[in-house]
Amino acid sequence: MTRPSLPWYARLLLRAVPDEWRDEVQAELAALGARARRERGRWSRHRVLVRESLDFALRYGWDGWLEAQKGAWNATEWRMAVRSLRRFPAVTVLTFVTLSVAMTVAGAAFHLVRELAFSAPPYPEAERVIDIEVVDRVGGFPLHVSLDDVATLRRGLSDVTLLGAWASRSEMVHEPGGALSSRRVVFVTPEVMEVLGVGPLRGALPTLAGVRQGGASIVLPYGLWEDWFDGAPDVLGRTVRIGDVVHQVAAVMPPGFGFPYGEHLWVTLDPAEAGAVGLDRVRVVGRLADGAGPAAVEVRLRALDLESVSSDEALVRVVPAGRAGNSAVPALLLWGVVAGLAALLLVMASNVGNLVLARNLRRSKEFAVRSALGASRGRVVAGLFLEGALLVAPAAAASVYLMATLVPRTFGRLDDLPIWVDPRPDALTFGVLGVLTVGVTVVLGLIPAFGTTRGLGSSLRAAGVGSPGRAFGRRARAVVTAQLVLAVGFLATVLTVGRALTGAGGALAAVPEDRVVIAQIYFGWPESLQDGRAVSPAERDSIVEEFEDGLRVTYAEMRSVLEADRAVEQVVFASRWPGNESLRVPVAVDGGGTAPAVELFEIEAGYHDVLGARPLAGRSLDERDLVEGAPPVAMVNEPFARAFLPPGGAVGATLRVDGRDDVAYTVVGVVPDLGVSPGTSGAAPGLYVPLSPTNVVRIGLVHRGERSAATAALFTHAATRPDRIRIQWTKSLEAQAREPVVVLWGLGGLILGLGAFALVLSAASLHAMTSFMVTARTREIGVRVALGGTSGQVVWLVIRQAVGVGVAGALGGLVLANLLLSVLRSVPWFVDEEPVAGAMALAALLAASLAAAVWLPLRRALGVEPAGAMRAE
Amino acid sequence: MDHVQSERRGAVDPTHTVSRIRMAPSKSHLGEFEVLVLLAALRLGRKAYGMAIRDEIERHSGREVARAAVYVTLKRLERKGLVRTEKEDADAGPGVPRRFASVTPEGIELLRQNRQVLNSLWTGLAVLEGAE
Repeated sequence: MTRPSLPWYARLLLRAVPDEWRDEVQAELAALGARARRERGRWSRHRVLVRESLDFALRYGWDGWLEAQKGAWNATEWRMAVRSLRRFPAVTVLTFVTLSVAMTVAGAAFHLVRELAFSAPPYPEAERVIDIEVVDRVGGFPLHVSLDDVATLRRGLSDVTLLGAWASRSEMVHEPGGALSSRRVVFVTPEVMEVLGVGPLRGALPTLAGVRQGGASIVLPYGLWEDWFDGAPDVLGRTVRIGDVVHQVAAVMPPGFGFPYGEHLWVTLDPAEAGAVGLDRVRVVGRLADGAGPAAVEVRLRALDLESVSSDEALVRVVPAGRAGNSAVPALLLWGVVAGLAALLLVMASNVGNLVLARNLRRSKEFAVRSALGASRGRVVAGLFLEGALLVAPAAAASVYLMATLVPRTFGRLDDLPIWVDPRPDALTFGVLGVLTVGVTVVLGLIPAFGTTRGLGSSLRAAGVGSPGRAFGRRARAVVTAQLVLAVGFLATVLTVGRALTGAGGALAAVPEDRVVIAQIYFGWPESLQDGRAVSPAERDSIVEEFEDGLRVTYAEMRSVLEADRAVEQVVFASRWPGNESLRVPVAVDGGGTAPAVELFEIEAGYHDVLGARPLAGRSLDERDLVEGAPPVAMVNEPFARAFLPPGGAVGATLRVDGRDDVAYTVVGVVPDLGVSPGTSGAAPGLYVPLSPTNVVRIGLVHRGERSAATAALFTHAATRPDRIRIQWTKSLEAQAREPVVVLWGLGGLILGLGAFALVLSAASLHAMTSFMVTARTREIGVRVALGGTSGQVVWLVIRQAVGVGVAGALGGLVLANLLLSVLRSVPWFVDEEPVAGAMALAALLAASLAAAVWLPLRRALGVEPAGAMRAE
Repeated sequence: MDHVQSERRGAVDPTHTVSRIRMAPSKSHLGEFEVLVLLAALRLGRKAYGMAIRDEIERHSGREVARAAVYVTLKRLERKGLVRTEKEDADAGPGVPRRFASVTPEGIELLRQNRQVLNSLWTGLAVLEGAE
């Protein structure tokens, strides 16, 4: 008959039971577990075993502690604990740093996830606020409905008491202090604020009738009232200019209020005027009637016939506001991040535990002597526990400090966090940190202590190296290997991603610092094509052609006016600049293959001069190429030429862009790689063709040193033009090119830091492990040397283990890196052309770490003298 | 109060000193659960091991007893010298050899004293008489 076994956690916990009782207790619990499993199933067995073995561990731990308190528990114990921490300074410092970082990251992750996923939106009865989402069936991206549809929804949805429409866009806002900034402005119908159910702190919410009579129309968030008006009580009626429209302040919202996710300027949207200001497509929020549920509303909604959304293309759904708010950051992703961090931290903590255990094992003689002098096992354990507590307490204090200062400051900078996320840790988060501290103290203080003192007291043989040593070796190897896998995986990933990011962020080195301002301009759309008026295809083509001719004239006028301004040196229009969103198209090379995804830029002459790029071959585009009817020409970047065009024959090749197959572009020049879009590697292929007029264009202004003067010239010109062109935002080229990359750099930095930290810890553990092994096998090494063993054999004996761990860690790490990269590659803007770039650098780093880890023990092993080694035993 | 004051003055009350000598060693204090474990071990005689003691206490008291509590208490009683434990021979029977406990003469003496104290406290309490 086979004896029932115990799971690993129960065996671990039952180490607290004294040796002489342990077999019996283990047998009893195993029988108990088997009975529970037979009678109530597998989970019941685990429940019983966790409860019972934990009970044993706690009771024996407590008993040992109480025992240690008796007698001379005095300053000597403290002095001994401090002295032992000073004897192993590397372990002490490493443990402190690891625990501080681990507890801070764990606490911060816990707080952020709790705030994001579980805190409620700041609206009364938030569960009744619904978001009516219209999303594309295929892509899942949000679509907007027309205002006519909002009226249809109002009539058809009886379960919804209130329905409001809103839209948002970036606008140039003239701040009361004189500064000009681009910020998101939310246009809301008056019902929106009623739906949200929050009253203003000051003033009254605007009404449609009031706004139509020229009344105040803008609602300020609390933060802007403080920033712009210093919280002045007479803010009502003061003015804020948004674009070329001046608004009066009608109300100030209370602190903490935000819609949709954060503090914005809320401008009243008059449905009658919406089309004229380009806001005819909106999103919808509503408030459910008493007793109504979102599901019922969704059923009714699908039965309604909306004119702006075809049910073949779009899916209409109702989302409670809480979830809508949180959907900004998918909960699954959040928990994924937390789980990843938790895995890394767990391995780090086990590694620290191993370091402490290794340190304790080196002191087993000391414990044996103390035991021989009458100290009980409980007393030795209590002493070690005190050392653990002395290690954990400062780390806990450091992490409390970091949580209270650094974490709110870091999270506070993230603009896209929902408004109800409070980055300041609260009592619950600090409570969790406290529990974590106690847990870590117990794990770090008690488990290695019980491991070290096993068999102590019953036999002085513990002074040598017995079974705990072997057990330590096995466990330490497993933990170090796991940690190396994570370290190598993270580092390989981040090095690959880092190369991609360097391509995007570093390619603009040639741009004179802060000399270029980019502005996005919207030129409207022909009125005769608006509002779905019926026109024949031929009519439509002629209207569009006329509109495009008009745009050409407008571009030319703007250029001549702006270049005449003394603040502006040069003006270039283009569809995209580095840092704008990605646009990839397939490009076919005549007589060659097809490039599946090429970044397409439509540019004017001078574009590459502004970016400081000289052609590597051929020439740049010039004015002749932009004249209507000119032969179509193009420029390619170096990666394109290298990958898809014959060597030395790039200039003169003919290309066809997907969707414009009738146009054959002749390549006239090759430019260096410019880092074409955020997240793409420096080696993504790019194609530059002459700009065809379009109603959204990005203008690049090279200024003469005064950025604000150049921006002001642009705004002044826009305001004085008879056509209503709108400047949607302005940014410096430098900021624009780096903006999307900054977040990625931050994330990359975090992963790099954690990976490097894990590598250092692995090396430290490997050092401890090898050092312990050399100590344990000194006699064996001596015998081998005495019997004629060569230095090479001794070296192999010592490094064998480290090499095994290193190889396993590296292989596992590469597998992990490939997994992580395959996830990253599913992110649309992420391109990398080499699966594991930087592998050589990483291999060198790994080899150096391993060599550093085994160097000292190896020297010690090579210095072993046979006679001395045998005497020592 | 007198005792405290006399101690502070350094004076010695002979009767108090005697009682302190008799009660002072830590092993002379028996907790309620320690008493139960000792009594159960006595009742079981040569068959007293951890689980059997637990079952015995549960049978008499009708309350559930934590396994760990019994083992920790046995360990503590052994430390106090009130119980001696010995592992049975490996070939005594199937299964893991058990560790049997026997109450030492000191343990028996302490139980006697404990009963005397309880008896004297119980005696003469009219409120408890006839409660059944």
